Amino acid sequence: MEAAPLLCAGLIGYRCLKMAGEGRRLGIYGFGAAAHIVAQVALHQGRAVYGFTRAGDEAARQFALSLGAVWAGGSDETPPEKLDAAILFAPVGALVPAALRAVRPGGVVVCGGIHMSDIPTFPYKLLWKERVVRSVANITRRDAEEFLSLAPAIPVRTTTQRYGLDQANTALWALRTGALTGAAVLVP
Amino acid sequence: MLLRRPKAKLEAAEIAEPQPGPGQVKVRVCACAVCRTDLHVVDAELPDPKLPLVLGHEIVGRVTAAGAGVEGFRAGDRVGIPWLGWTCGVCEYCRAGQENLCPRALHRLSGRWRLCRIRRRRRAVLLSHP
Repeated sequence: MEAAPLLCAGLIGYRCLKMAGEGRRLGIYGFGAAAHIVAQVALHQGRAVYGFTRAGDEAARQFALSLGAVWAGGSDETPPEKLDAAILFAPVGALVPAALRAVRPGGVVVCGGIHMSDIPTFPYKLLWKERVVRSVANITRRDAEEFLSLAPAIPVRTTTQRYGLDQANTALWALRTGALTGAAVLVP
Repeated sequence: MLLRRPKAKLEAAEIAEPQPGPGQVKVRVCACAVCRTDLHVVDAELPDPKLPLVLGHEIVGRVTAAGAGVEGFRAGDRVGIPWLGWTCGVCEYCRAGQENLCPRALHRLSGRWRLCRIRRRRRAVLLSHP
């Protein structure tokens, strides 16, 4: 059960981390299944993790801190220092300009989701000075081989909530409402 | 658990047990994580869902049978199955190791919130032999 979240949340998170570059200060927007895995990999690599959660979501904030984030706050907050890169797992387009504000010149913003609400217009100065916005689409077999070798070596520990197959709608609702800590996993 | 129409609740359903064709393995599902992409599918935020659809794409399971031509997998193997279902293997992206961008890629041949699953060999990841 603990391995299941590695197959998408973990793999996509790993590819996002690769796309984020080598910078040490890493912001993660949306602290759910993917974030709690990629944070462990980032920390293993010696990076500092800054967790951004839904405004007022104290449980998610504490979850990020418990995993080793040096700072955690609402996605409407400004981190205490400029970030080298930010990964967006929350499918909220408004977070793109927010993340651009949070990264330093030359920083990278990686959008990790397959879908996101529309990105609002923002002033060019947020992008200027060689900041980069990019998306991640899926994974490659090489990503899978790399990550599935790395995860047990770290070792990555997933936080899961177990649901029976007949509770699939309940699990979806928990994900939709942000009631999960970590990942929901269905078992037959 | 079937999604019969967009934005509907999933419904329990009996589905015929599949048999693996050439290049495919049959996997008994042990666990499948729930992903935000599943919500995007339910909410009709992704194009062309093949309804009715069994959701799920973060699976760990055991190989129970292999189709003709399958090498490297055998019954009892513990495997992981991610979102990407199939890529052509011949386009410029596939040949460059960027098969995630293959224009012919299939992402959800069917779903995995069911007991058995057919998977094309190249897109299953071997986790351990028995």
